[in-house]
This record gives sequence, C-alpha cells and structure tokens, in this order.
Amino acid sequence: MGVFDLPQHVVASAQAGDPAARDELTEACLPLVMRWSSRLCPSGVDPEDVAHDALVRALTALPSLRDPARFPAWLYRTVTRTIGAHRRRAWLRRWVPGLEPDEREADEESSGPRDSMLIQRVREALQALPEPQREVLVLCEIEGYTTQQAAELLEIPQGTVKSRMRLGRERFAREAHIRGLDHLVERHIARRGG
Amino acid sequence: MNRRDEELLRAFGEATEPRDAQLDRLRRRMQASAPSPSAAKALLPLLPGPSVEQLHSLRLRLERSRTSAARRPVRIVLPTMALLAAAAVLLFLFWPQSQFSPQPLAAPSESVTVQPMDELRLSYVGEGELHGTASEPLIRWDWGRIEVALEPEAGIPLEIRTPDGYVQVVGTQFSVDVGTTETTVAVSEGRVLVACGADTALLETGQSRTCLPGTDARWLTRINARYASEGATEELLAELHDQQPYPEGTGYELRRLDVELLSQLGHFDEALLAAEAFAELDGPRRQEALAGAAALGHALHGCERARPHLLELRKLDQLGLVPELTPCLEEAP
Repeated sequence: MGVFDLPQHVVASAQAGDPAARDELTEACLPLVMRWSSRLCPSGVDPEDVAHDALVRALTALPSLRDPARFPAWLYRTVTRTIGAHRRRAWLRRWVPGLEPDEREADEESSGPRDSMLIQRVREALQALPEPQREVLVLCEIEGYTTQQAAELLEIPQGTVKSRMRLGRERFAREAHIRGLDHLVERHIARRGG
Repeated sequence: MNRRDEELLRAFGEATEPRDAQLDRLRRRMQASAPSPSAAKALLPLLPGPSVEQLHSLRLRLERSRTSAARRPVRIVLPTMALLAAAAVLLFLFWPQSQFSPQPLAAPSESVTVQPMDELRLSYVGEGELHGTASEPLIRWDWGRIEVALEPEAGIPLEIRTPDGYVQVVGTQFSVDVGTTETTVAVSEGRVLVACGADTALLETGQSRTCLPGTDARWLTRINARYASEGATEELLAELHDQQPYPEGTGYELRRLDVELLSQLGHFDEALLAAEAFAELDGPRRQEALAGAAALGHALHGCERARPHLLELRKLDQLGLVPELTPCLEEAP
C-alpha cells in the first residue's frame, strides 16, 4: 500500500485513539517510512533507528494533525525531521569524546550488509546534492512518485518539483563523475549481465 | 537522465529496499515502544506503588533540600558556569568549518568568471576543482590559466595546487598558468608564496616564477613538447639526461627519446650503447628497441654487432622490422 492509498477514515480513527486503527496505520506506514529512511539517511545514521523514532513521533503527535487528508505530507515531514535530529546526534558522537556509536550500528545482522562501494558512492553523491534536489530525486527517480505526488508530499508547486528535478539530475551527474562512478557502473552492469 | 545515472539510482534503490527481516525487527521494536494508551492503562495497576517508608523518606529528603537551598547556588552554579565556559571554548575551537562540496572549475575554450564567496573571484580557462572550507579554500588546478582576486582584508589563506607546485596567499591578485611544459605564477598585486617541490620563494607585486614539472609524467610531457617544437638540441638532451636514472613509469619512453636525440645530434657511439641498454629491457615495444640497436650496430660496426639483436628479433618473430639486415644471420658461423 502506498502513502496515498491510506484510507482517511483509518487515519481519523487512529487520531481518535482506536487501537486497531493505530495498528493498521503503523503496519501500512512501516515499510514506507523504512524506505524513505534508507534512501535519505546519510552514512553514519542508522535508517532503522530513524524509522523507529519517526513512527513513534508520528503516533505520539497524530492527535495534533488537523487535516487527515494531509497525512502523507505530514508523515514525510516527520521522517525528514527525524533524519535531521539523528544526523546532528551522529555529528555529536563524532566530536564528543566518550559518546560511542550504538553497538547495534556495528551489528551487521541488524543494519543489513554493509553498502558496496558503488552504493556507498551513490549515497555520497546523493548526499552532496542540496537537500531539496536530493528529496525530489529520491522520490521521483527511486521511489517512482509522479511529480504531482512529490509536490503533494513536499507541499510545494509541481513546477518547483520539476525545476528541482532538472537541477538535481545535472548535479547528480557531476557528483557521480567526480566520484569515479562511470567506471564502477560499467563493472556493475557487466557483472549483472554476466 | 542518462543511462549511467539511471542505472546508479536503480542499483541504489534496489540496495536500499527494506528487507523482510528488517521490517519484522522494526515491527517488534514498535510493539515494544509504541505509545498505546490502552496498554499503559492495563499495565498501571500491576506496577508496585511506593511504601509508607519510601514516602516518609522522600518527605525527609525534600525537607533537607529546602533547608540547604540557600547554599546550593554557590556549590553548584559556579562549577556549572565553569563547565559551560569550557564547553563554549571547546566548541569555538573545534566548530567544524563548512566544507565546500568539490566544485568543478572547467572552461575548456572560453574564459569563465565565478565568485564562490564574497572575498574571492576566479577567472579561468582550463580545468580544476575548488575544495576546502569557506575560511580555507583550496583549488586544485590541472591545466590552463586561472586569475585570482582575493580581498586582502579578509585574511583568508588560499592555496592553489598544480601538478608542478603550489601557491599560498593571503589577499592579493595573481595568475597561475599550467602549461604543457611548466607552471608560471605571476603576481599583479600583493605577495604570494610559491613552492616548486621543496624550493619556495616569496613573490612581490610584478614578479613571476616558473615551476618545472613536479611529476615524472609531467617531465615526459615537457620533453616531448619541447622536442616537437624545438627539435633535437643539446640543451634538450642535457635536460633529458638530468632525469637519469630514468624513473620506472616513464623510463621506457625517456630511453627511446634518448636514443633518438643522440642519433639525431650525431652522437652515434653513445646512441648505440643507449640502444643496446634499452634493448636489454623487457617492455611493450622491445622489438623496436632491438631493431634500433641492430640497425645502429650494423651501421657502425657491421653484422657482428647487429647479430645478437637480430637473433632476439628472430625469437620474437619480428625480423620483418629490419629485412635488409637478415643477410647478417646467413653469414653467421
């Protein structure tokens, strides 16, 4: 189920405190929030932790949502704000002695296999993009949303999405070139083909 | 979007698609931590409440706190303030600089002017990249000419690295020209520190300095470029011989040039010795070295000197390179 397919009455019931509706909403949002976290998080931030915190925040703040029709955009903003908070926390861990990274971060089973060099470089190239361009690129090019859906999620005009997409593509092409992804992608295609 | 970028983003999308195990784990974490009012209400009666003794002890502690409240600010506030001041100093010292994301500077044909920050203006034709931070910008300049104008009052230390050296400056106007054969730095205003390898010099307004190549590859490029424009000269030969012993990476090409220059300048005996030493080495174009040594040996000393090289060429099935010398093999005893 996509974020735009969530029935509004389920959101409204969950807001009213119906436990079954909250469970249904959690189950529907969980893969979505996990996907957004995985694709928007910088290296050094655990997407699973972000997804967990974002869902807890969303469920806690759900009664404050005025218009259930705006739930997709509201949920997306909750995820991006949680990513921002985790990024700042990760930065603090790097700079403040004694604050070690979570044990879980090193646990391969919990965070999944480490990114390959190609994926790591793509993540770096995406992170080098300004945030507005990165968001549009991830939503439209990776998640497969239409520009209209992305505009709804980001609560910006469709024309702005299109211009950010154009700039994002150009910038991504440059960043990918700088990181030597031309050669890596050829090898990747050859390996896949084989 | 081009095919490469589509493929990259598709691979990234596949790699970041949440796995079932990950989603199951997240579900379990949510069940353990989701704020469910009904679950909390059900659990509350099961929690142990405070005993009468515990409440009495708590009242006593509160009473003690109230009576000692007057002294507390002195004991606690001063160390806290000291800690906060130390933290502020540490933050000031270690606050991370905003990093430029590497910004390509590329203008292959026409001059381009950019102003990456208020205090710095760059005009260039060529290629390089801007790195570093706003307070310590760093430019890697690969080829072409770049003109730099940096506000003297800004106090920003700018560094430009070229293949042949680097330039350090605080507020001035100057240009850096990375050509095929050398790098030239010219100062229009202010002072600039130029380092060519370990050799550094401070340039004043109106002065300029040329850095010779800083890498083996740049030396080879320089010698080839000079040979193409000036032809064979004793001066070029001397510059080439300054590179001896020839480095591993470019040595093969430098040896080939050595033989060629010696022959063209009429130093045939030296050319023969250089060609024979060259022919001893394994390399991608060894047959050419052998053919050269055979031809020179034959021209200077006859078949006897050419024969060992011809035998080698026969082993490599490359006698066709010097067909006119094959009779030397027939004369062999």
